[in-house]
Amino acid sequence: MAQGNLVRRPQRWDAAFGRERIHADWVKLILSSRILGDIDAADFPDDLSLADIITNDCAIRWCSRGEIVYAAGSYQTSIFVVLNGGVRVSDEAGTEAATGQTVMPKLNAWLSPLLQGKFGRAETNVTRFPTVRLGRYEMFGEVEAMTRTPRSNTAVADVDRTALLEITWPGARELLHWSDAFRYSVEELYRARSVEVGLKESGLFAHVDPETLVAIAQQCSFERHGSFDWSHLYQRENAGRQQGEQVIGQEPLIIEQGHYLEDMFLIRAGFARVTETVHDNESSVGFLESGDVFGLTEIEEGLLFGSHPQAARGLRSVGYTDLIRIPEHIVGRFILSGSKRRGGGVASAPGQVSHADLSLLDFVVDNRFINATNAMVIDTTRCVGCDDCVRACAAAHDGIPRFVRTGRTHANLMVTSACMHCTDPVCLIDCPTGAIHRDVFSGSVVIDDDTCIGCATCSSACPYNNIQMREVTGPDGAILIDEDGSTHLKATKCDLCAGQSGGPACQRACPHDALTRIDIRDLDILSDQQPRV
Amino acid sequence: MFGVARNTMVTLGAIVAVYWLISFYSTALRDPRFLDGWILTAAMFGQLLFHVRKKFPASPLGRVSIWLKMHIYLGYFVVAVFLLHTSFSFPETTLEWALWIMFALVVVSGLVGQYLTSSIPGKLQQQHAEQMTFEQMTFEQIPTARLNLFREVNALVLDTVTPEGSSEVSDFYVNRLRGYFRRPQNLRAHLRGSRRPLERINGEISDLERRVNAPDRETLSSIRKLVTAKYDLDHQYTVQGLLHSWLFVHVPATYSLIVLSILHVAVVYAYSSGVQ
Repeated sequence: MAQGNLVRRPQRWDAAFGRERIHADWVKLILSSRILGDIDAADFPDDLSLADIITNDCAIRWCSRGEIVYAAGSYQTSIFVVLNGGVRVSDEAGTEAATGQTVMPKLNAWLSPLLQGKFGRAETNVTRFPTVRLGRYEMFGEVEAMTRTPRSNTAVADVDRTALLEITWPGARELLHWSDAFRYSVEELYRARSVEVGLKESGLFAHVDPETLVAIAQQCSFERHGSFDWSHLYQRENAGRQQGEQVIGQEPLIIEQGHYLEDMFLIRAGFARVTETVHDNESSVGFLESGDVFGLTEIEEGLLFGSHPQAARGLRSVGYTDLIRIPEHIVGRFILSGSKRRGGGVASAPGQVSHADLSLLDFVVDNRFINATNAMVIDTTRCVGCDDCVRACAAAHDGIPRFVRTGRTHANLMVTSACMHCTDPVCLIDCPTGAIHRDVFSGSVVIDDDTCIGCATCSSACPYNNIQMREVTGPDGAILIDEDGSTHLKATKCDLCAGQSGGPACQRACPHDALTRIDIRDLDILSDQQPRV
Repeated sequence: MFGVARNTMVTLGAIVAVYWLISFYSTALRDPRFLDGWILTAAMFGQLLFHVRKKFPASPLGRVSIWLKMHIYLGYFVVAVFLLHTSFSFPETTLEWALWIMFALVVVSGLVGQYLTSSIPGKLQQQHAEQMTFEQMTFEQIPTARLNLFREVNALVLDTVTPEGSSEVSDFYVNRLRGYFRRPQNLRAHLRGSRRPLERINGEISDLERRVNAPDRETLSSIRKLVTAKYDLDHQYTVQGLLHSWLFVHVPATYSLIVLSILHVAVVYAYSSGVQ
């Protein structure tokens, strides 16, 4: 047996979320009131009581008037409940989309600390944009918490001494899991708000006044295909799959090619695959992501020729897809007429690239690489196998590299086993402590070593096997061993060399420009790296 | 393409500038070899900066690919200055010969390395697309893959060994294939891109197939696939090994050149009166 230091393995809640644990009086107050709706403490198991969850996974935030709770574009995943005072949630994203301005979420996120300070805080922040006021016991922030997406709006305290109950994602996950009442209320809010926020963010109704938009939202419906927790299902399906074998048939069907198209689909969250069936052979022709639409052309032609629109192509859910169904008459009255008024058509879906190599598209969608915002791609016609990238990674991370220079390949492109910093990072769903999280500003998925308890939940959830567990050593270099004889583990993965200047060391160290970190959803960039015939 | 043209123009410009400077220096009745000698020394030490950058892979000192380009173009510049410094003539003394040979070794190994690194990965990729049975893998993965093939073929052959069965397959394996599967083979053929050794083994397997019973023929058919896989694996090993091996000449020769250059400078100053 290895020689090592005997140390108790860290446990969940050893380090509480926030600055300090919630005081018992507050916990009593929260439990005795209807702050969390009809939640019942009896629904929770003894070793995971509601009181413990509130004490350890929640925090009370006191805000003065004008203080920003979260900024649009920031990757903050808590759910908030107003305990006292009020909050104004801005219409910022919708406003920018409506005016055709570029949405700059990251800049907004970076600016928020400045805005918090002395640079015109209070009144400016409260009155900067059209806002919706939320009062006592109202919940907000659930949409981004559920979908793991950046904040679509900015929340600002409306009055001094506004008190908020911040439920971190690990706490929210437990509440959603154990309490049916809490889950129903959050889902209800999520569905209702998703439709309105989705319509605003899409920019399709930019010319419509807010009251009309509310009326439109009431006529639209929300649908979910697939599952939020898609990674385990994908891993099971993927286990027996050979490289190159397609998975289209296993994906939930949203609409089949040739079927009657009653509504236009607006993708709210997740991804969908656009397929074409020729001689019973279904193949990919594109993919859609948040903000893309499906069926617009068919409905336009249907209205023009007075015929029933039929789906020219099929649509399947990749992982999970949240979509908004916009009825045909709404499309005709507001979107098509609106686009004519603006003198142009509605932008086509960016994932439907006509010139991209279709086999490359299959490779990217089948392997779920469309999820990657920062994949490590190696051009094998340039890579000489010098391993400088691995050495650079090791040099940047205490001698232990955070990736393996192997992976799935398509033609000359190898997507290596390095964390891809996913759009939908399923690895952080079940982390009991929230140690694996997204950096609030950059959105990179990072692991906090201090709160990681080495449970390997993230490692087993990663659909790409890009998170490894490593043994922990003490200051003397000896491996830490628990009382039961097992070694202490910590999750480790690529962190894009966070905290180091110059960006990812692997990319900088490649002498032949063979290794690049790219957003794989931009198929044009990927396609450009393929050799030309 | 624009980058190559730009870098070439800059390098040519620098060479012309040095040539003009030397000519100008000569017209002042000074010995130009001191000037171009020091320019050469400085440029050679400049070349070493690339190695320094590589020693600190995680440092924020710019991309190594840019450093490599600088290394290559500065290398061309160094060659030009070296030729000017030696007045396009062969050396006369032993030390100068050693210096000259070492310089030539560094330059030639560098050029070979540049050719190999720019041509081999593409060719390997193309070969894989056209004829390889084996998935392309990293150099470090090849020994494990070789071991797995060895175990697989061993298991296949062991299954044929029964008290009542013939020993022709196992004999053929022991005499002909065991060594083939254990170590990298036919390196020269792989360098030439030839598949003749593979055809020869396959021919021998075909001969044997005529003499054995049906179950053994099935085994031989599986062995034939493994033989092809091993051949492709050896091809990868040889070609990727070539990519690594040129550095074993280039780097030691570089350090020898530096030592000899320092010695050369010391000797020159020891036996001269310095700049006129």
